[in-house]
Amino acid sequence: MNSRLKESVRNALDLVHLELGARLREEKVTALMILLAAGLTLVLSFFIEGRFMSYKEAADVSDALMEMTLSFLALIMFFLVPPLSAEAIAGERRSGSLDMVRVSLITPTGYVVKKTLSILMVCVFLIILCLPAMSVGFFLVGFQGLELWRVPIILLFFAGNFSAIGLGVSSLSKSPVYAIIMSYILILIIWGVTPLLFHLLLIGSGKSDVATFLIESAYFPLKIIFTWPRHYFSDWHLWAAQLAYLSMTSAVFFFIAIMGLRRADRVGHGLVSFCCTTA
Amino acid sequence: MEMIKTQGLTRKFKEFQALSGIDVLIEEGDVYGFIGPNGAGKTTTIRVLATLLEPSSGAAFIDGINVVEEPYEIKKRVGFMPDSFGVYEGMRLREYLDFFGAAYKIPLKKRRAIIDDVLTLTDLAGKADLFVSAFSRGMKQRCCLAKTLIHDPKVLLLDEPASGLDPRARAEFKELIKTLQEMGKTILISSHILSELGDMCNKIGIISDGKMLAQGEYREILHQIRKARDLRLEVIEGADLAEKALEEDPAIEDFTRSGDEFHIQTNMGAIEISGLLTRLVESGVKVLFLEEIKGSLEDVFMHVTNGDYGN
Repeated sequence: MNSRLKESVRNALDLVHLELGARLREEKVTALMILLAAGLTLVLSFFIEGRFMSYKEAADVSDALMEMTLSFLALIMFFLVPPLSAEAIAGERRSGSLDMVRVSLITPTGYVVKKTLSILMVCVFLIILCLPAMSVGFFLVGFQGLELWRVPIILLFFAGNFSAIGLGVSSLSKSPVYAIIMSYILILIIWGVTPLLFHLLLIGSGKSDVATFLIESAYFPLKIIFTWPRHYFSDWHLWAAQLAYLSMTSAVFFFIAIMGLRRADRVGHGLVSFCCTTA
Repeated sequence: MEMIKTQGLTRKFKEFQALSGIDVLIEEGDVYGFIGPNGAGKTTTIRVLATLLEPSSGAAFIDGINVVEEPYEIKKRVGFMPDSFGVYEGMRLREYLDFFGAAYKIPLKKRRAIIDDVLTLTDLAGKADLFVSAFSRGMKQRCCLAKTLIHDPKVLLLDEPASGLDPRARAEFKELIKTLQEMGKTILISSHILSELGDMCNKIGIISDGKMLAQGEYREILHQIRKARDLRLEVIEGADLAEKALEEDPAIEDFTRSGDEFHIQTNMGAIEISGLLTRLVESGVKVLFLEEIKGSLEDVFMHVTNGDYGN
């Protein structure tokens, strides 16, 4: 029994490993990796040039460096993960390889987990790429009042959320293009609703600066990506609440993805097409 | 032993009735040609058998197992090659087969040896380290077949496997099917290109508009359709004498003449045909050849779809 379990785990890991290998060879992934590396080099060169030395406090320098690195990383993830996940099932359906996977012994749940893990592994790879840039700031000036370990965790949850939304929509769509458009629309809706929700939770708590930030975010969700939201990492309540919200929405979309795969023979792109047009 | 069996299989897509009570019976080791025009219901039937589609009614069994009730067991026994298939862009051939080996839960220790065997069988051994996306159409077909064989299935469901192949690749594919038949696989091949199937299959099923029009041994169906034997006679000298001899022979049902060539319809057996040849030669006709015109799958298909079969 034990050896059978080991063999199953080994097989599952092999699937993720092979899929990840294939993904890393995709041109768009390579292009974004190069872009990320170029961005990080730019950040580091600014730092080395002493551009941040005009800041008065060491914490400001570390913040500025962190903001640039993470905003860039989040931006790359924003443009990488939804297309990767939205294309994952719809693309395979269109090319015909989905049928070959469906007749194999992989279950719909296993398939969704495999896809998610391979996408998340790409994100882990991206985060690892950013570590040198983050470490420079950390070792030279430190991050005051900031729990650094929370950063990669929330980034992975964001990536997981993107993946779940992408896979959920993808499992219901025949067209990868529709799936990508719909994923972005849903991400904007969900990320717009999240800050509003937190605003409602935080009213009366005395944290007016956080509430203001979140209200702004509600009207402009992309600000989360473009602005370094220190609050997420310094206030653990906010951090945990954000993780919970992301987990909840991700679970819903993972469930949709699994159900979509189970009923893969009934899928058409009519609904998704209608939603895109309406939106 | 019955390997594939369907009973009154129906499938409806909204208002469109794709299958109307299809009964298929395929014995172990058969190579079954599933023929019919585009949109006849071939792919739908195959997709039901491959567990990709649930039938609206009726039942389908593979190796005695119900396709709808135990899809997991069916997947272990069936290798499915769809008519259009994609390959993973960033994968090398060995990785591609490794991926599907893992998907079929083949233990890692055995997988490498199985992949080598399958590559040798499909004549792709030298291509293991190439990217599958760079393959030609023919190589992709063989690659897909290799993937289909990776878990050593008893039954192969091949949907239009040779479409889009050049003549050489098609001939190689036929050889591969023969090898698989010798290995004891039960094979269902669908195609609307009849010349592909003629010399590959021992049984055929003809489907049109979701209905099975004829099914059984290829030769048997051919014999039933062609109630009389067709002969072709060509003479060098004595065409008039030959015409007279044919007119006088009571066993000749009908014949037509075109110069020195005759097209004869008769119920004669092989010995009687030999006697006819002797009589023609003895009456002074110089015969160039007398041969039986073999029926092709096209003939069978045209007869059956015209409604001649069974009337």
